[in-house]
Amino acid sequence: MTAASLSRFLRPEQCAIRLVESQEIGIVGVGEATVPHIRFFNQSLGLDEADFMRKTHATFKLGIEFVDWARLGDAYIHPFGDYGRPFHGVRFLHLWNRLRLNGDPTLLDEYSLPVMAARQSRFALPSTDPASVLSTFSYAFQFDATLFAPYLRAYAEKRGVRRTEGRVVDVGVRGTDGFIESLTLANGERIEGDLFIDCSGFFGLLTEKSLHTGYEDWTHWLPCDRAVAVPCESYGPLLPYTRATARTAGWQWRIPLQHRTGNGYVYSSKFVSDDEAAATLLKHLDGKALAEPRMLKFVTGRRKKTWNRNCVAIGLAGGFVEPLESTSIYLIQAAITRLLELFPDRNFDPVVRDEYNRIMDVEFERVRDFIVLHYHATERDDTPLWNYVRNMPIPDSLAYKMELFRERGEVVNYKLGLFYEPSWVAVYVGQRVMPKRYDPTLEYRPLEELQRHADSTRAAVRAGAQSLPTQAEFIARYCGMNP
Amino acid sequence: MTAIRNILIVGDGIAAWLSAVMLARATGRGQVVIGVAGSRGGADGIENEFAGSTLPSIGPRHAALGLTEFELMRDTQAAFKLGDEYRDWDVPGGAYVHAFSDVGARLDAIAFHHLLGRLRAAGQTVDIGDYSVAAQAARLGRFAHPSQDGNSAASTFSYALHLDAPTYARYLRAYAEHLGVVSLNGRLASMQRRASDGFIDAVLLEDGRRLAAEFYLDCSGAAGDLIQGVLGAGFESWAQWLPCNSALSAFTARKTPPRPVTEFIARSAGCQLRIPVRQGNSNGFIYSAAHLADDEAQAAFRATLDDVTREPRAFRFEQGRRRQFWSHNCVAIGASAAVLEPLGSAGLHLMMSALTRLITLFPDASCAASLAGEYNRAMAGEYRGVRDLLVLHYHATRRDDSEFWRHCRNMQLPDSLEQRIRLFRHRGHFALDDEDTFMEPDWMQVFLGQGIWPERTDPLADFMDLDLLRQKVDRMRQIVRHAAEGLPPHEQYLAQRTAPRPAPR
Repeated sequence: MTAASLSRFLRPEQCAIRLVESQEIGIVGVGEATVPHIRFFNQSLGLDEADFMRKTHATFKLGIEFVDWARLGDAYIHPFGDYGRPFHGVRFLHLWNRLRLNGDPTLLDEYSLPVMAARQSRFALPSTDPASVLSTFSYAFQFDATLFAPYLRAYAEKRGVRRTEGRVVDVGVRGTDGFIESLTLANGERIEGDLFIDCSGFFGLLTEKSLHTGYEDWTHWLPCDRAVAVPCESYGPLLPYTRATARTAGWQWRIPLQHRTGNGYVYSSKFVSDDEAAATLLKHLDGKALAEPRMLKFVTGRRKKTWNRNCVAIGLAGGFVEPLESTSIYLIQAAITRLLELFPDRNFDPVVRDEYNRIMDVEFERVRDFIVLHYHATERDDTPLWNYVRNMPIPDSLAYKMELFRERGEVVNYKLGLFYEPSWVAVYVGQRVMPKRYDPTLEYRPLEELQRHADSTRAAVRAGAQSLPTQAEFIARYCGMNP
Repeated sequence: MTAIRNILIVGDGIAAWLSAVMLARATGRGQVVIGVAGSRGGADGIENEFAGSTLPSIGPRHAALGLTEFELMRDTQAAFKLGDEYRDWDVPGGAYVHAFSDVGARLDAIAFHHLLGRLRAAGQTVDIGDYSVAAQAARLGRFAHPSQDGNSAASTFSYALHLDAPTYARYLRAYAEHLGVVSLNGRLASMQRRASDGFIDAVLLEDGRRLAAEFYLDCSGAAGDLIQGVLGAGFESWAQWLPCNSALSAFTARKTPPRPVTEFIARSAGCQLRIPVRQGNSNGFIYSAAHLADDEAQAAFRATLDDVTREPRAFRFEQGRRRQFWSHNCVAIGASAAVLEPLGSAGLHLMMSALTRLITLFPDASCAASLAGEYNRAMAGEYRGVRDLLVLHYHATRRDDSEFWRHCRNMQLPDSLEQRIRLFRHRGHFALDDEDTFMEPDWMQVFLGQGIWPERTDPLADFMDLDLLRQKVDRMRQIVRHAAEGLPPHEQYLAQRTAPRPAPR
């Protein structure tokens, strides 16, 4: 992603880009889920959406379904879209909450077009008519990461990126200022550079092994430290969403692609053995496994400086907040966007680096808090992991947000970073963090008027969802793989 | 939960009547009794005299209140505004417009100021105002509503209004009364607090009436009759960064066509401003009494005015903000929350933004502490962002012709502003916070207008072919000039837009 994006904005005669990659180190992920920002990335590269989807066997994603998170038996979808329409300037959540506190059992889901469409496996591109209920959502993709990488490689190489196959055996660091000077490959080739971007994954070949940048460990908030992944055959309707099912010591992902389904179990090694985890994963596949399970180890947290000296760590080398909300690719994208905005010259002004790190710290922390919410806001007490996360102290930056939502359904909004109001609402309510009160100005309106507004919204959502084709039909028409 | 049924607003000026209108609209007719009582000291000068210079947010906010632009302009002597013009700030004789407009356009994702910086580094004389339709139109005295065609250069700006502040206050009052707000026609004498939780229980008016409400808005001006007088919320002074503490105001008759900009002219110990409304100009003179004696200030001010139609007024203030804007069951709006000089024209915007936030977090009678906490956190950030932009005007100067300017040049800055300047000076980048009012185009225009150019351009801009860049940027300049020249004279457009319309048949 970084090479493709840099090659889009830097011409080869201006700045030579080299990429060193070793086939010996594989690509993590058997199916990658994303958030809607990926579309801006693809647009910035000028990629054709249908072509991209066809070549990466991609499906559409309207959100994530969380199963068994707050209580065993619960299931909710965090959709890419808002709930309902405001009522006299008051957000719909408040109206729903007032009706709920008055005894109305209708789920918030019924006021969300993407949730209702997802439940029926339906999809079409959003309408461009802002008055239509079919414009009230956004979408992302689920694709095969092992196909996306070569797709981007072809793009980057066409624009002058020189790719070298090889394993880095030595990193030359300048004595005067500790900057990286060169890489030496196993075949003896020495590659010099001004700016080094470390996309080597958890290992942090440059940022950690050479520059000893240091890592801020978030395991006390996000205790999962391993994942085991396996693809399986597709089964059932092609769902336009990712599923995350809570398990005894973590959770399992299910990412439907056009040709197969990606699965994985993210778990804490403190609470379950690797063999047990793999067995649990294989037991819960909905089709035949297509490979041997692969195991990954990680430590949740972030590099203390994602930009250190002349080295910027992007992707897992920069930090890892676990894949629960499909934020890995988003964080890569955010890092690339900020790097382009703050692209350095050879002086490597510390002011620029500090601002980059300030912004990336905020990005990571806001994603972290959102994910911690999923674990912490649970009533489950059936296993040691859930007992731990339910009782653990949480970051202050999350605690006050939760308090404000509990008090009366208020979401703390911010401009920097991912996840806007509808996302927070979806997860709070889905995790049973229910607002005790609502916007009191609703008290000044008759209940029947509120009920009418809710009913008409729900009817429009239902009719809108039913008017969509199934995702399978839509994909066949739009971007189906060649048989 | 117990919904609030009675709100008492204390104040006499724009903040009080704006609060009344916005709360009445938000709570629905007849559901909540909203009363307005006069403060002890009467309408606050710094809050009211210069509130007529506004930002573009006023348009959508008025629309949301059910006020149509045509009626409002017809009834309040309002005129159109394209930005703020700053004269003599960086160096005597220098001028720039902080316009409500896109400035140039990105090329290959490179921000426009970097493109311009590259040309400047190559020896070209550049002026950002040449690339902003609103700045060009302001210089030419032209105005029309922005085009709806997104492909047209005439769609790349927005606009605000110049209001006659006393007329606007009366207009809001009439509208509030139309919406059912009760004018209590009495002045505040004393207040009573509840022993159990310290909430304000009731206020007593001078005529002996006792008024109880569940919620209070303090719009009493800098004195803060309730927020400070009763609740002791505290004050954080910003005088070390914004030393102006005195103001004179006067209204002069219209002699020349109204310009679509507020003028801010730097003077030896502060600045002078002119807000052009239809029938004349609202003038102000803001100064530091430590650097200029009152009689000298008055003489200097009068020397620039002729045909004064409203008697000049003088008042003192201290810039800064309340430590808590929302305390117990009371929220401060306007100068009772923060005192800022009129530079930057954000006064009315900040009041509307505060009220919007209050309505979003509107409490029930228990006034949960978490709501007040969130409100205070967000508003502190909002005021800080505006303050930083104001301080920048005074600090980023090459003037050394008076003790005042030497003080401003050399003062120690707030950390947040220090970081913003450092980042822009080194790299042309903007450090923005979540609650900032002013966005990248605003900061860019003020930085460059005040003479701060990035020491280094974006390295990506350095890669561009210079001749091609020059051609493309030159083309932008032509498009902008053409769009600005295509607009009608402001005065003519204003006359058409505010002329009485025939009644619909």
